[in-house]
Amino acid sequence: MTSRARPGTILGIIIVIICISMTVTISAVSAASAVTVTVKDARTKVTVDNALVYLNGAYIGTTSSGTMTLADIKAGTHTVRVTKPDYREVTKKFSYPDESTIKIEIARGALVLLNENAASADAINVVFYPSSTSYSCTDRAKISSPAYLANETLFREDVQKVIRSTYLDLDKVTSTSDPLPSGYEDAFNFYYYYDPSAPGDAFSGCAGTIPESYWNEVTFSDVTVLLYPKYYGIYANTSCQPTGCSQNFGPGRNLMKAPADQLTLIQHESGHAVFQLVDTYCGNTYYYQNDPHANVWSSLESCQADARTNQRDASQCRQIKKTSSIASASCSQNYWQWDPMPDIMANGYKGKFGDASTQRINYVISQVGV
Amino acid sequence: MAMKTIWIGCLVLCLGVMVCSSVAYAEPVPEYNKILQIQLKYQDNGYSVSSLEVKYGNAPNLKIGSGALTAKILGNDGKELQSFAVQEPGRAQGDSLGVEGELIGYTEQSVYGDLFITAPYEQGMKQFTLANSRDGTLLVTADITPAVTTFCTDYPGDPDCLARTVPVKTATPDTTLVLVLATLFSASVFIAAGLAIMTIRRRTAGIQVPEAEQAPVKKTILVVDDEPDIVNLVHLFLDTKGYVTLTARSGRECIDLLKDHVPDLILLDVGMAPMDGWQTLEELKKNPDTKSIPVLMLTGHKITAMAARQYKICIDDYIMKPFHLNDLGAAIDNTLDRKEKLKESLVMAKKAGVDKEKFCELAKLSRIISVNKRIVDIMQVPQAVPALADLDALDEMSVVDYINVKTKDHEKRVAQLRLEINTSFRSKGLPDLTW
Repeated sequence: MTSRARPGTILGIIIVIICISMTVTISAVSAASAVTVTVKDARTKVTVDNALVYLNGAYIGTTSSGTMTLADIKAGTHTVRVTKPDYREVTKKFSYPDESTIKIEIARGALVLLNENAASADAINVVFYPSSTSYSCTDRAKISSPAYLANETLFREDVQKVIRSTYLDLDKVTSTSDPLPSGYEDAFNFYYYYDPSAPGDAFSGCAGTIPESYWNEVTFSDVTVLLYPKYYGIYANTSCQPTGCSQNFGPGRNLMKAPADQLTLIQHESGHAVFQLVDTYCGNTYYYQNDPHANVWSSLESCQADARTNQRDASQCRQIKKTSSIASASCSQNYWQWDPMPDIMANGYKGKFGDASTQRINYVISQVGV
Repeated sequence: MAMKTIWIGCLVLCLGVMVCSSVAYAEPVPEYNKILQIQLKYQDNGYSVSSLEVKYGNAPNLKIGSGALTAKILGNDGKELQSFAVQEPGRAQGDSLGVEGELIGYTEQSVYGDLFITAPYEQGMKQFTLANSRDGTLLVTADITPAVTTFCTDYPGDPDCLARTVPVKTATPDTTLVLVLATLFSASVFIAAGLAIMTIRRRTAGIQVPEAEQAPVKKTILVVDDEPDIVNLVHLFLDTKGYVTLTARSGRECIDLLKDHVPDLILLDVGMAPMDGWQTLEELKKNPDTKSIPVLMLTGHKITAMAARQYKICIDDYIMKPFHLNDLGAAIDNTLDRKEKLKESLVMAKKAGVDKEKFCELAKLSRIISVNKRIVDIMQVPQAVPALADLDALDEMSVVDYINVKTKDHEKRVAQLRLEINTSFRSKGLPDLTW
């Protein structure tokens, strides 16, 4: 018995054959000037899928089975860039036709986002970095403190405690007469950076030192907090290293250090580093009128004018000074303050941010759109 | 029944393509965020720019800064694109916890220090300025354009680099547009199939992608000279010739710059200090990443025969100052053209099974002949310098005669090699060498 194929059936078969032929043809043509990029995990050496591949800055596509074929490559030098969320991006130059296979290894990044939701583009980026050193004021010596480097969980828990008790508790230590906006917590993105092979040193320089590789990788940090577990002994005199410090090297390199067990001191240093508040104790520190919405003024008149403008009692303006029965311990500065004591910007163990400081905190938070 | 099955199969295939396209788009979105990073050195109450670069990355929040300095970034038309406050560098503000809860201050203020500024990159950035906020005194300015040019040399396909010459509507594709395109793609499978048949029938060896589809990669030239006027003049000239120019004011700066950039050609001044052009040449020829970059030496001074003997093999041309810009342009074009032809020939040589050693010998001798002829031309100009000659031969013949004899020897060998290689090429149906 013979059967004759229907015209429709034949047409369908032809279309399928054409599709297959087309695929084969395109592959063959592409192979004529193609470069294969293979992406592997630097640690496991396993191929990485869904890595984004860019040729000379233009996005080409993602890797599948760890590879990506770049077609129609012209002779000359080219740049291939590979990115993937949670990995450090890698850029490599190659010369075609000398190289037709490019092998790239990408390593997992050390930056961990702690927010429950995705990071907000406009928020203040606070990044915590572990220190491998601490300080003994009793012995007047820097001491090795490897606790964080040996135990990421301990570091993460300390960071989370600090965040909860300081940044996310700001409403409890700021003035109720000018309360923070609801949802002020969203004004922050919190991260920690954990790479035991590149530890920070909280006692190399006033605010400490962090490896250059961090600054090259994390370019968007508004404040980097170099956290160390504990400061040993009681501060005796200037031969001891400071417990906390804030040092701004420019936008993207704003560094502060603090011990994880001194939460009020962390609020004080954050007052400097995040909100640009000025110290209100009398001593060896920097005074300036931190406009707009200052908490320290360069004249009594300025302090009083600001108080009246903001419906505060102008008579509370007072000079920053300290009296002591020992003449050498007395201090007087040509700057004025308004916030009542105990003021966090004057005290390291207790206190609140007064109305003037709260006004500046509100101002900074408003700048990021909360 | 079979017909129905095939059509259902095709329908499933088309839907599959559509779904896959949508899913693919839902996956990672390309990241093109870029930053401008400026490093300033603060010393003796003055600021100077240590480095300025454009790179991929995200910027900090400039709105929350404060300080006694005001940084501004201006656009091509002088319009202010960004303005933000910056604190003075070198100030550390420390605190210690006293026994009674009081804070005890600790300060550091250096007379020197580095100031780092990271700002989001915007199209049209032209100039950076830093001023004192109190009295407006301008502390430092910097041209951003070279950094953008350098970035776009490495990443010509980046949307912002393409936008420098061709306006683009958006940097990232519109979702709706992608879905529509995905649908259209499915429908056009059949049309594409027809085109594929045509492709097979034509049996072309390769399909060239139209030039417009790939961003043209401009050649990059590094100009190394300690005379700013020469650098600026050559920079302007190379711009008009369509080259991307990198500049370095010293041998050390050149070596440092080559860690991050690989130019297509280097114009290297001989008379620099403390690291002269020959020492710089030696350094870059030691490095496997830079040793193959053609080098054109620029000099206004007499060079020693010793230096010439030591380094002549490393250079591609030798240009006397003062020079005509057109002559410089011709030397650059010739060198780059020679390199390009060499690359093309190398591919053919591989196909033809030519011995690599033989091919390299031909390439090397051809270059020596070209340089030697150039040297002879220069030496025959009145008051020109004595140059590339072998010291041992200086007693017996003039430098020019010596070079001419050596060149003739090389030419004989080159003719022999060329014949052998062209014979191999012809046997494989490949065209003869054109250099």
